[in-house]
Amino acid sequence: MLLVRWVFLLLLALLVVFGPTILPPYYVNLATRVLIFALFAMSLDLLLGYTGLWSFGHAAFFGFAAYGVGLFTLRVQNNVILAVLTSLTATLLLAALFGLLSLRARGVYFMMLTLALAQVVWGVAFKWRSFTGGDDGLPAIPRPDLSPLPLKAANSVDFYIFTAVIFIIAVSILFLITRSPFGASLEGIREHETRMIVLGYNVWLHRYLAHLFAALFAGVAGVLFAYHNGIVSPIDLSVVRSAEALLMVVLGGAGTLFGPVFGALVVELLKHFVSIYTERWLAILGLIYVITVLVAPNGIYEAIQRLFRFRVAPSSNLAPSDHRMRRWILLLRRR
Amino acid sequence: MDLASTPTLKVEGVRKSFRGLRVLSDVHLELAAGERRVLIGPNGAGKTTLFNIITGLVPADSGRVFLLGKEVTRLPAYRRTALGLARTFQITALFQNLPLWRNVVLALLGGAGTKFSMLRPLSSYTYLIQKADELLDQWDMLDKRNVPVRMLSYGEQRQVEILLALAQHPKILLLDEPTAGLSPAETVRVVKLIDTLPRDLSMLIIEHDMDVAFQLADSLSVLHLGMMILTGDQHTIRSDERVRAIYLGAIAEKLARDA
Repeated sequence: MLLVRWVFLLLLALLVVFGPTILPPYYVNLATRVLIFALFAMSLDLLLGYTGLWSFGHAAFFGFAAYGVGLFTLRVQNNVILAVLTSLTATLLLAALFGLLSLRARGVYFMMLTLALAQVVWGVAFKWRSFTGGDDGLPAIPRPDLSPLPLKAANSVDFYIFTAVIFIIAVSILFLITRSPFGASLEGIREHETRMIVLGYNVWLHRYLAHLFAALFAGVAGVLFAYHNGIVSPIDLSVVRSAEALLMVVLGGAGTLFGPVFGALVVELLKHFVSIYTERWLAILGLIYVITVLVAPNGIYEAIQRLFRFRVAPSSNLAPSDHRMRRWILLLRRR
Repeated sequence: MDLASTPTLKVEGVRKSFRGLRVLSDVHLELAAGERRVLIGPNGAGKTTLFNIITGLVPADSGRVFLLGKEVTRLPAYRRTALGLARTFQITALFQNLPLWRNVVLALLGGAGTKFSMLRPLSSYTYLIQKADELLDQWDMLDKRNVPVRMLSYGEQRQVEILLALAQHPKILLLDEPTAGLSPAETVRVVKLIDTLPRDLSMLIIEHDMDVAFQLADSLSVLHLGMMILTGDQHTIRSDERVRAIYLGAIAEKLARDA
């Protein structure tokens, strides 16, 4: 049984890494983008879904790391390892500082603080023209030299494979964290902070660590984004990016590690396909969001899980929101 | 210092005001090892605030708190737990969306050194999970181990509340209205459960139901308008004029309000 599971996971990993490489280059690039934003959304989910911290400024770390790589490569030296290490270290330091400031607050106040702090970073990127390029952004960031690896980053298929491998490593680490005692403690904090304190948990420290991890993985996504996109602009640290990630998490299912992957998939695909036909793709995205909240309030991931479950749970064991879900499943079954 | 005579819990001259409203003024309290003390007093007397100060959730304006002879006045709440302090809440404070076993495991984990462990799955800590199952079995709830706590009945949730507090084998247990909102049958069950806890566990219990209070208490303390006005055994409390005045007064006022 355990072997079956490992074989399944291995096949899944191989599918993620090599599956999209047979697609035309345009779609390979799209797949790369989906994976980058999926990782970004998952990192936010660690805060939002697991720890119950609604951050409205998560793009600060995504964009900061992206700028970090871009600035290092363009202004210092084109060396992947140094650029990535410097950028991620700086991102962690920024997160360490922001965490000290924002984690003093709860609920709406935490949202406002994270938003305000992210806006500070955005303001700096926007106004410091001579260093960051202002609203033109940082163009012409070269793809990295992956030389010990048999991959040429300039080739979109090779860069996709590189991204997918990093994605799988990051997801594995996130998976371990969320399944560990530490991850369980985060869920406990989400459910009842005071109870956790009384049980002997240093709640602040657990939250702080979760915040650092979330920032680090957002940073990894940001680094991949900078290399993939070749240009970083203030929008990548703006409230728009933060809101997109929030949407992906809620759409996919907060508190489920893989939910945000589906969220990222839906949002990115919509952006690319619907925007071909209409400029009002945001309205359609909003409509899908509303429908999701009505039909599957716990997100797409859980809805899919439930559809594939053979037996529908007896109604007595369901929460009110699940009853709605059950009605829909039964409706779909009837077809 | 004679260890046996060291009070497990000592509160010394504690004062607390919320924005000018005095909630506790100069409260003293000592709990001997194994003593079961019931704290009574009308609504707003400051009982829960006293609990919050003892557990460290709320800082006192002045005064000191000792646990097992050690001063903890400035110790953060989460570190007081390690000294053997546990409490329940008047308003049920459980991990509502997590299964019952996970609630118990989190309670056990709080006292373990592994709560920061990140790279081993929780499911591999079999001794924790076994321990949780044993506890659930002792409390006749093993069949509900996988049920999210929000789906348990209110009476069951109140029991889980006590179970979580006991998971780390505390030396001092603070129970904040353990029978609040329970049916008479459930109350009997919970009271029996509290009564059968080990005798070396010191307990401070807030209780409004006088039958329950007198049944559980070795001694009682009366808190009124933030002042500890009397401590004594059942007989002392029953026969005290002031206590009668406070309670009958409160009841008389309530009757007048309801009429």
